[in-house]
Amino acid sequence: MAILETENLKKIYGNGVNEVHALNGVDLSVDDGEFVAVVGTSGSGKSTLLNMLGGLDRPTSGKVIVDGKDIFSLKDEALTIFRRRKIGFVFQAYNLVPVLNVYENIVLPVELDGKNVDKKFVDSIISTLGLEDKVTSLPNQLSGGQQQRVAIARALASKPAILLCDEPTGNLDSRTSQDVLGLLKISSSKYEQTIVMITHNEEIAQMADRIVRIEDGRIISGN
Amino acid sequence: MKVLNKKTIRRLSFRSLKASGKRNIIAAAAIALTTVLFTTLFTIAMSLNSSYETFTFRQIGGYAHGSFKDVDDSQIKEIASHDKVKAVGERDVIGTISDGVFAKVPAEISFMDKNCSKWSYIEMSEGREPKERDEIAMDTKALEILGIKPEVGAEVSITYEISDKEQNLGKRTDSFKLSGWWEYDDLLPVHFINISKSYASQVEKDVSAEGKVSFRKDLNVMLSSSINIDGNMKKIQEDLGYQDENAAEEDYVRIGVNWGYTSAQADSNIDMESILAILAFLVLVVFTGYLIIYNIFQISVSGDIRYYGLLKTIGVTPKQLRRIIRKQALMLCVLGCPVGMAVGYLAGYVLTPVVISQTTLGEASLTVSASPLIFAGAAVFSLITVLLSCAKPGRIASKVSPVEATKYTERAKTARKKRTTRGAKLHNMAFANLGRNKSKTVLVVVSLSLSVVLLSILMAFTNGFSMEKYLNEKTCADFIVGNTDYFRFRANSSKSGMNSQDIDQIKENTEISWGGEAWSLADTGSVEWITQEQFTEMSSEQTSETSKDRLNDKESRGSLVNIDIQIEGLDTPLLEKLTVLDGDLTQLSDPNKKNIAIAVHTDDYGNADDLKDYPKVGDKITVTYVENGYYIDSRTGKLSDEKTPQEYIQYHIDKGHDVEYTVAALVTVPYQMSFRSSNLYGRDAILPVDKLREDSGDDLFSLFYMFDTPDYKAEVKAESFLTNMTKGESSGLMYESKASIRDEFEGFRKMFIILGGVLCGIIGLVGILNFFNGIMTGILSRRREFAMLQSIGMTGRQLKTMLIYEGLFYALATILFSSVLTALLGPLVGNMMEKMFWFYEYHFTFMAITVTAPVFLVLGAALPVIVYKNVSKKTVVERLRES
Repeated sequence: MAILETENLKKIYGNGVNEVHALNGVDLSVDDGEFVAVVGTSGSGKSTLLNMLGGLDRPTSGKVIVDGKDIFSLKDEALTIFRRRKIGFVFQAYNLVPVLNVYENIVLPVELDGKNVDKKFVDSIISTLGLEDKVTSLPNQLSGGQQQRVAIARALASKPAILLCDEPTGNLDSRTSQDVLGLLKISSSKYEQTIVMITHNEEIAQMADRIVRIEDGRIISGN
Repeated sequence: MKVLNKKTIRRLSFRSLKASGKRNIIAAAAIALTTVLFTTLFTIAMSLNSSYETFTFRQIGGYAHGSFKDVDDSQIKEIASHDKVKAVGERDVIGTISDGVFAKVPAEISFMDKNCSKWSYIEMSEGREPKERDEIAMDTKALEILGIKPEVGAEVSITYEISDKEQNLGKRTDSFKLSGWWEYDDLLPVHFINISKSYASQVEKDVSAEGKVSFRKDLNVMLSSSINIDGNMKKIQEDLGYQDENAAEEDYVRIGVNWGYTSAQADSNIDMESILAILAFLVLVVFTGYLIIYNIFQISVSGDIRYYGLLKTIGVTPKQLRRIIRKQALMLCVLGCPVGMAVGYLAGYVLTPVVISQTTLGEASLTVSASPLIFAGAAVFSLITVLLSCAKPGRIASKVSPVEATKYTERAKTARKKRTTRGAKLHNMAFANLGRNKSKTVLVVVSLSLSVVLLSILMAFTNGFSMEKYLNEKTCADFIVGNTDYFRFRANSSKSGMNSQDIDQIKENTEISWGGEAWSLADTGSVEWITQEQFTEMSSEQTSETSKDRLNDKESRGSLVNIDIQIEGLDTPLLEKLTVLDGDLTQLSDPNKKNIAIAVHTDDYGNADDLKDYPKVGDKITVTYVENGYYIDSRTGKLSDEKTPQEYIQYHIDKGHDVEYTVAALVTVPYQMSFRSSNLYGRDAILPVDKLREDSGDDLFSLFYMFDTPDYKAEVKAESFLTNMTKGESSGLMYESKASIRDEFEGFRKMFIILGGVLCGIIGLVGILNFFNGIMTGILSRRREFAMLQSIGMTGRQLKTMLIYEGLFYALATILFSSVLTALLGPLVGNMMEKMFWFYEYHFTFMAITVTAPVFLVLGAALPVIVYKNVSKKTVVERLRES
């Protein structure tokens, strides 16, 4: 069963001479529990695709259907709420809130939703990702790999159906990359999550269930 | 569930706030400044109000909420124990003196208990209240006019009229020992002379021995609050079963309400104009505060846009983002507002006396209010300003697209720019930097310029008061000397006249180049007969109802009704001060003709009324000089009494004679030499003094003597002579001179300069703060970029030079823009003010700009260096690594 689908998704930046077709009619379908890697060169449109999938950016035309819901039919406010409940993000630049400590960062999306934090669940994520000693540290006291693990923990904390990862290992050395990705895979299967990951690193991509290749805004293989 | 959410938002707001150190200081300072302005304004306004209250209370003689009149001892007990009554003070009046030395200000002899004397502003400066039967206390002025040395135990003998209700009980003389005294308050309409309770009962006993009724006792009360005094007093009266209709009954108790409270509450002292002025000022302050606070938040939001975008990707909704920003602003208020209130109250405390001294209230009634309303009002208005200011930045932050925000660097909006070959010259780079974020640059320049323009307008305002215009309008001779009554608008009988000895004395002791007197009818009245239509037309500004009422008051002669005509007799030299609108003044003195000049009313600017309501030159008017007239009840034709309803009271001319005049001229009379007051349904006219004497057949009294001196030396000499002559209570004379009017004007202008100066200072400070903020954030938000520039080979010196160029460009742009705005807006506002103040003359000035320009240029050059020094403490690598 497909938890994530796109229909003829298009995104055009700029206009006239400057017009750039970042996405040029993408139809993608991801099944529940699948781990998909999207691969492509820089400028191929893979980041744009991920942003659309997560509802961070609105497409020029086409639909994104998450769990049976056309997310762009929602208003901004409702979209944000839908997103923080259904989708977790992991960015290349970690994007941790610098003024909050590790624990506060992890539970932030849950608290923003006004829900009670499932402490047991959060603790289990923290131990799975090996962050027990760091819960009171501030992001700038952590190494890159540690920061990325916090970001993954944060993405998992709200028990989202889908995890979207934008070059999660882009800033990490290959050893740490392997570690982080291993953890990502373990936790996603442990918490039954669907993962869509963007990377340009073939080696990393090989760890996924399926590889989708994208070029010039079109899917060329893997669908 | 919601609670958790709130806590998270608060934590986020607070932590973000803590992370942005210096910016907070500036924002809090801006909020504090705004609060200073509000608090000062409210302090002054509230103090004016409370000073007005004090002023009225002292004119009335006390600040008790009300009084129960004519009570006996058992009623006093009943009233005092009523639960609406907080405190009571008893006063037993036993007599008055209104002749001899007390002819001008009468004295009341009474016993007052402690509360009552406190509420009557009696504060013993020496000695104590009378206790023994032969003790007495009074104010210093009363002692002085009685010729008694203020010494405890001094012998005092007074003769007074024993009075109670309306009975005349004859005079009584007694000797006392002075037990104490207090300072005289010249606002009080009466001298209080206090005696002991035992003396009061002695007098009462003696009098009732002769079979007269007991004395009048009044009980002053303080209620629990000053709201609805009238209603509460009536309630007490009712509760205790008193009545005020039948004086013969036992339970007859009248109530009196201190109208000082009611009138202050009805705000009769605040007119539309002052309300508008206060409103305009409030808007100005909100606007000034908005400018800077908005600017700070705007800049900080665009600086932190990535951060907000990041929060959005995590799932902070736009509403929550707006709340985060609002929370930050409110936290800054907690810092800024209290400081602003303290400083503002101090400023208000210092400025209130300056304002009060320009009002009719006088410094003696100065009361600086400490009402909590001041602080509540200031807090509310500051909050409104802050919330207004952070609304738009909040919207910007909430609208930001998370994807763009995570990539956000200040981007130039222009799609394609023509490449130039100017190369990387430092000033070109600086200029290009300003162009990168046009809206931010424009915002900084505009808000800076606006504060300069405001300053400019304020300066033009305070400098534009024209002494010449004021003097021209307010004086028509160097000196005008007259009875105090004339200057107090009460010259209505020969008692208010100046005697010829005084005038001779002036003539002897001063050098006079020109002079003359003006005269008024001593004992006769004068009326003019006009048709009912003319009357209705004259009163066209009134509602037809009141004018009909007025018409009923008039005795008619056929179809004609009479109106008052005030005829001023002028010595021949004074005629030249009149402005002839139509006709010819030389006709007036023709001995064979009965000619008269009609005075046309003018407004503050000296513009004459529409002439259509006045007779034309050549018209005949009939004037009756009334030798005997009185008010009658129009139903019976008999003398009216207190019972006659207002609508039946009519003025009846018993004896008089008519004179028919031809209108020879329509003139305007300078205010200073007119009667200075006129009847709404009446006319003013001018005759040469001999004619007036001849036609009226009555004595005239001299209203004033006005004269010019030949030179400045003579003017100074005359001034000092007149000061001496009119000194002291007994002289009964007053004078106005060019110099005293000049002082009056200077005082008025001083008030505006001080108030305007404070406002200018604060607005200027806001401008500089704004500038500082603009430059600082401009540098701080580009730390990484500078590090990058340095990493590719720009030296620290070059970077500093570039930043100085940027600062100077800001300063220059501000100077240019504010010059243009001043040049455009100045004349516009000047024109408006010329219309508002008749003695205002607009002069175009760039003063504000020449004053602020050097400040901006220096700051523009110095600030970047200081801020950069701070930044450059970290190494290039450290800065490059910062995200």
